[in-house]
Amino acid sequence: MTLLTPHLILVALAALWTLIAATVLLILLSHALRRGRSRHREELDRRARPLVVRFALAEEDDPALEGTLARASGAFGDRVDERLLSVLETLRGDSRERIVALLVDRGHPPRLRRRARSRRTTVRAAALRRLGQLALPTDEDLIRGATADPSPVVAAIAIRAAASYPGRASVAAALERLRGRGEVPALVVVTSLIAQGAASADALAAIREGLVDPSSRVRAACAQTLGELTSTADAAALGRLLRRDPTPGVQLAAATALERVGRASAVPALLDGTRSPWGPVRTHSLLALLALPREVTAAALAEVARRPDPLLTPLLAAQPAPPSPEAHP
Amino acid sequence: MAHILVVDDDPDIVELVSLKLRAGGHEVTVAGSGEAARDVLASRRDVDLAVVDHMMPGMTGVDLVRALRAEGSQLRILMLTARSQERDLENGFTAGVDDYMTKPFSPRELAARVGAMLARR
Repeated sequence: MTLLTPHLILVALAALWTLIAATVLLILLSHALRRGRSRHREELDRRARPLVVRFALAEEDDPALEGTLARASGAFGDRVDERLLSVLETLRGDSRERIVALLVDRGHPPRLRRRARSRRTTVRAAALRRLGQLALPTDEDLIRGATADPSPVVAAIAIRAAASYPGRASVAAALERLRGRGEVPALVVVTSLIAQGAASADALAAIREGLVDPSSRVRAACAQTLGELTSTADAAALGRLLRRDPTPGVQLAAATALERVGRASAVPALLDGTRSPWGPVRTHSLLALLALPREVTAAALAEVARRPDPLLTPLLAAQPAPPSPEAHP
Repeated sequence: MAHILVVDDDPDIVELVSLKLRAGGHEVTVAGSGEAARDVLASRRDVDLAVVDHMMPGMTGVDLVRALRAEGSQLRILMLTARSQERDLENGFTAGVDDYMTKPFSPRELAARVGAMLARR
């Protein structure tokens, strides 16, 4: 006996086709809804953008325009906020201060602070990013505290946002994340440190102190930062790190930094670096030597050339020959 | 008054830069990409200066400048770039950029730099 009667097969097929048709219809409907929402947002943005830009660039107070923007509410108000935050990222000076004041007037910071405590990581991350953009003094502790967030994504955003408050405490908060758990990429920390080191002498001093930190990840990040900041005053310290640090990753960071900030005093350390058992350290030590004037590196480069090395010999051979006195009388 | 081309894919920055330059009495044409900028420059010979964003999808600002210089263009070019891309500025100057500003920037400084570049004509 079989249950698959022709009638049953027809009913099953009809049900299947109905299901497929309903699914396709739902997909089309959701796509149309999304497009509609996106178009609506674009339309609101087109209205909000000129107002926000005029406000940002105004040389004199324009109470009517300010009132329009301050009172904007609902979906249009949300787009006004978005545009204000977008423009805020681009501007500095008076225009920036004016936009921050308007966002405060619109009650934006308290909303962001609430969201910064949300249970959803994406909401927390977005709120912290924006609070960092606003850089209000009242949010310094909140942002710095969020660098210890259990979510690496939120912590990474908070570390970037902490750069709006450059100084010892923010450098320490960023480096602390490198010491304990390794989920936050070192590049995020370095980017924050670069911004802070460029803006604050205290932050720069804290970054320099990081070169002797017990954590190798901290030492490497600080070395990389000083290289990016093109801090030639640190060439000697970076040379010492290259020579004495037991961790190849730190030696590599020091050699790479010296490619940008090397000085004649670093030549002995770089020459030592070309003898490292670690290929990348040898390579970057040689590249740092090659970045210096030939007058101070000629003897060191001659020594490297005498040693056959599968990594360094081709690199040296690819260098253009120094001009001879005969060629340029 | 000069004719200035603003090349940026971010509508907010385009609006901001354009309004500031128009307020200074300049004529402004906008291009949303490097490719669009080349089209504008091919059809408009009266552009005096271009304000070009560094990071754009497709043809970057540096690609655009390199292509223009390869064609022998003498157009004055001011590049806008994020601070984190400072290393790329070396490439920018090698490619033929005349001046640059890092974001975030002051609109007043932008207008002053544009004015100074135009005065050097």
